[in-house]
Amino acid sequence: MTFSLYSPEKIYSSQVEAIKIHTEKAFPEIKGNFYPKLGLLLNLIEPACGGIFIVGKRGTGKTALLQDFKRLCLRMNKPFLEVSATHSKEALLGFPDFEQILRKGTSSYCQGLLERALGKFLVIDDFHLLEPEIQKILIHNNHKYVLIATLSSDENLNQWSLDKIGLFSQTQEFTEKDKRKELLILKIISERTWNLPSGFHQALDPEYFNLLKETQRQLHRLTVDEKAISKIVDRINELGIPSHRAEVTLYYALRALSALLLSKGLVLELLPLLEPLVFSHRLTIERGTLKEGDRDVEKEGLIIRKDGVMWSDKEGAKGLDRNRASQDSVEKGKEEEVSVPLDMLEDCISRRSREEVFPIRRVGDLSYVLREVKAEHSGLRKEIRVNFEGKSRSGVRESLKKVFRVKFDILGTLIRASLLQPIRGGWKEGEVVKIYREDLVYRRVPQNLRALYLFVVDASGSLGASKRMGFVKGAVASLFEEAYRRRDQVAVIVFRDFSAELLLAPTRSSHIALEKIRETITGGYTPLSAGLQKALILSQSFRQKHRFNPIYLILLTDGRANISIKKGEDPFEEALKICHSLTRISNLYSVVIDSESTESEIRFGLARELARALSARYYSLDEVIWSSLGKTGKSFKIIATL
Amino acid sequence: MKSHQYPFSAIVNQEELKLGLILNVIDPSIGGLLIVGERGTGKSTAVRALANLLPEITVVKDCPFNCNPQGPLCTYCEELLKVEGTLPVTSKKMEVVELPLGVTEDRVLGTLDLEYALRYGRRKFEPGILANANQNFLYIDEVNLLEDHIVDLLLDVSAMGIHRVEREGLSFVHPSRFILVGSMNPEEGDLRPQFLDRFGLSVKIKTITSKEERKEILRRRLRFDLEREEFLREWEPEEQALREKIIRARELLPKVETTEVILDLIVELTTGVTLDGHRGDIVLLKATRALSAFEGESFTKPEHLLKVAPLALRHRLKRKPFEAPEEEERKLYDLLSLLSRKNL
Repeated sequence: MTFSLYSPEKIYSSQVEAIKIHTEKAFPEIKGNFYPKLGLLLNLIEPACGGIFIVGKRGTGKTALLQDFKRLCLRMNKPFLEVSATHSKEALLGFPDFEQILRKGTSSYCQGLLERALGKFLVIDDFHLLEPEIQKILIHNNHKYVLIATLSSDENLNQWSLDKIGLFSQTQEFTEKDKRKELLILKIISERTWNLPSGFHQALDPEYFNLLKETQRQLHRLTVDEKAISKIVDRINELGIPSHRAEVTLYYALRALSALLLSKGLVLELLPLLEPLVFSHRLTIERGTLKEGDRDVEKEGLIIRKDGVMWSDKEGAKGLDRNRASQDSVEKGKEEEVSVPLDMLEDCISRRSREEVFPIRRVGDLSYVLREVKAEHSGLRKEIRVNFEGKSRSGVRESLKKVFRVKFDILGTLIRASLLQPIRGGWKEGEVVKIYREDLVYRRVPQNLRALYLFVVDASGSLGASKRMGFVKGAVASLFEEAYRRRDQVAVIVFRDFSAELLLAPTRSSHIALEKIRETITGGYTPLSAGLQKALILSQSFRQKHRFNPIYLILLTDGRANISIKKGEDPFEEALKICHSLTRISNLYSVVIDSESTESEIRFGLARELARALSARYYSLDEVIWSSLGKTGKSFKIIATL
Repeated sequence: MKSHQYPFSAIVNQEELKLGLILNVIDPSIGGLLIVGERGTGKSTAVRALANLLPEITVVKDCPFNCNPQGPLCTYCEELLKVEGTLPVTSKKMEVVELPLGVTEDRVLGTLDLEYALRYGRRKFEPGILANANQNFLYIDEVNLLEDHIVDLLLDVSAMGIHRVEREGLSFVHPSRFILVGSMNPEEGDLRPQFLDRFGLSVKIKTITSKEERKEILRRRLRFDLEREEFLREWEPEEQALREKIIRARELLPKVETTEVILDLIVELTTGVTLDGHRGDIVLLKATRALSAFEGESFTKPEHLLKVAPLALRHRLKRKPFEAPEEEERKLYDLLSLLSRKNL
């Protein structure tokens, strides 16, 4: 690890204690979770902190935190608005007010919730349940309101959009028996108080309420502090965080924190305490994680890299454990860091020399592979329909092309009817608008059916040895282009050595996808099942969000699995099992491109077996490349030295 | 919420971005600016701040489409001109019209005025964003996240300069010549090449890493938030100076002479790198003239050209599928430094 986010020895414990008491008092119902609480509190006092995202597993008290936050808002007289997944897009963005139009004949527009949220807190529970488009709009307009949202940890949100959110924190899960018990007791007590008629106000200590008010006053007395500015900038430069939003947020968070302590100036010593909140979502996952150049620089780099992607997020939780200053959690934090056995570590380092980054080698246009898969799947359905329903062929084809949702269009209906009102005698004093059946307008709304191309790429040593990785990369790049042409999304999972990594969450930027593939390192073991497992999780969450969008799983491997997820399990058998669960996902079609050389003497044919388990189309990489070159180069066949 | 905009001249560094915007104000026919930058580098701040600096434009009085009396005219104004013989003229401050992300087609194009239709049973067109944007800036934040069908509409209208309304029984034409300003974060997705080409200039902005400047950014930002009145007052003289400089440049622009040397240089540049079409050449010339006017010179100079060349050409460079995007860019810069050695 090149830097640490949190250095406990720098912090005066008395002040930390004071803040801890603050968080406990403000959120009495939830145990632990120091950082989420602090983040909420800071936002409450200083909305310029820019909102907070709270990420956590199910049942870790995210909703309860929000409930308490709302209660605090009410008590502090700070307006907030709530948005949930049940709100339609119109309700959020505004729509014509038909009642006014029909009754008075004046045009009037209903403000959407977002307009009304201007300058207020916007509280959203389960942000991931909102439609992706609304999520985008909400995040990009974050400067207009203060977004307070919770998010399930299974979701992948793009890191770059998260930058617009000021703070970020994870909820804690308790694994110790005592704590779980305490939690239960607390829950019972709080439920009892809630049932009382006055429970709502009782939950907040009146003395504490006064303290909060004082805090608010204190905040306005704090002036711009030069020392703080230079210290913050130093720290941010040290960490190499690109966004200027980070420093602004950090400054305001510090301001709010100092106000909480009722200090006259900014408490610079407490800066490290805020770092997990401000930085954990902003630390760039170094582009170089998989770059060649880094490899000699840090010898232990690989071990960190194993879970490198999630590391920055986990750090928040880790820092939290340490910060709670209770001994057991400190020890737990330490344990987490040295989870890799020592012999394995040495093994890794010794094998490092065999890791290589292969350049992308150009292959022909492989898009026909995808087209064939699509044709096969649509062909299948065509047959069934024609046989059993007796529908015409063209009709069926039409229905496969696009899925429409028929929607009643009230505005269109009114427009059409309004033009005929003088003839019908409608719309005079005391009359209503006359709408007949023929005025009704329905609009076919095309469902956005962009496909997801999920690449699962084997980058293990067996591919490196025969220099075939370059061709694998070439094939992937060629398929990217096809995805780009169709404006579909791509996601890439690469597995090698001990784990699989989601190199690229679903995105439409083929440029970045190409960049990532270019930088991929080859070498190490083949954790095939881990790669498939990751694909399974990703497709499941994608399916939840997009019900009909097809997923094309493209698996490039030779199938020679040698690392399993569970200890003692046969790696290949395990992979087959996961394949079976993958086939259960609706509208998921797979292709297996076997990267095993057709030239080699010993062939295992494992990929073919995988294809069978996935009920996928099977291609051999060599054949695919040959035929693609044959297509572009017409008649002459190139005997490539594969 | 925030009532005042952050002063344009108080933006630390980011000279290229500022230059790109100012050139567009001086000569709107340059065709806009695409701002490509990492998150949190002040893209939106700069464009919103621009509103302070904008000059006045002449429009037909009470025309909902901001028609320029010199034309092109909308259907209303044309009829008015036929009947009256002359058009009432007034002047108006230029605006930055924002196109929000979740915008609907109706809102962009305009639609039937429902109120009017219900009351009088007759058709009337209710202008949309494209109408408001005529002669103004059209700002699209996160332009690469815009829905495809909206992009199609924008492409169509910006190519023609007029918007032909044919919907809901309406038939109507109005001009829509806007200066397209888009900001995007390349990490979130690509922009379609056709759309990319529509932007006259492009700038790439990076996070400032110099410690002093970063401090200054934070300091100014905090002062803007906490001591707004005072901060704005402090910066007003500079804003005023810049505003006047821009107005002078706009007056000077038609008088700027283009020398033969400049034309040769432009052609040498644009043939030296792989480009699509001739828009690059034209934009480059316009931008050079605008910069000369901004510098108060009455004829174009090679150094002006070399300064704006990256802005005008960078996003037009052709990228081969398997070539790193930096390759062509390096070629451009090599060529530029070669030319500057020759000419300066």
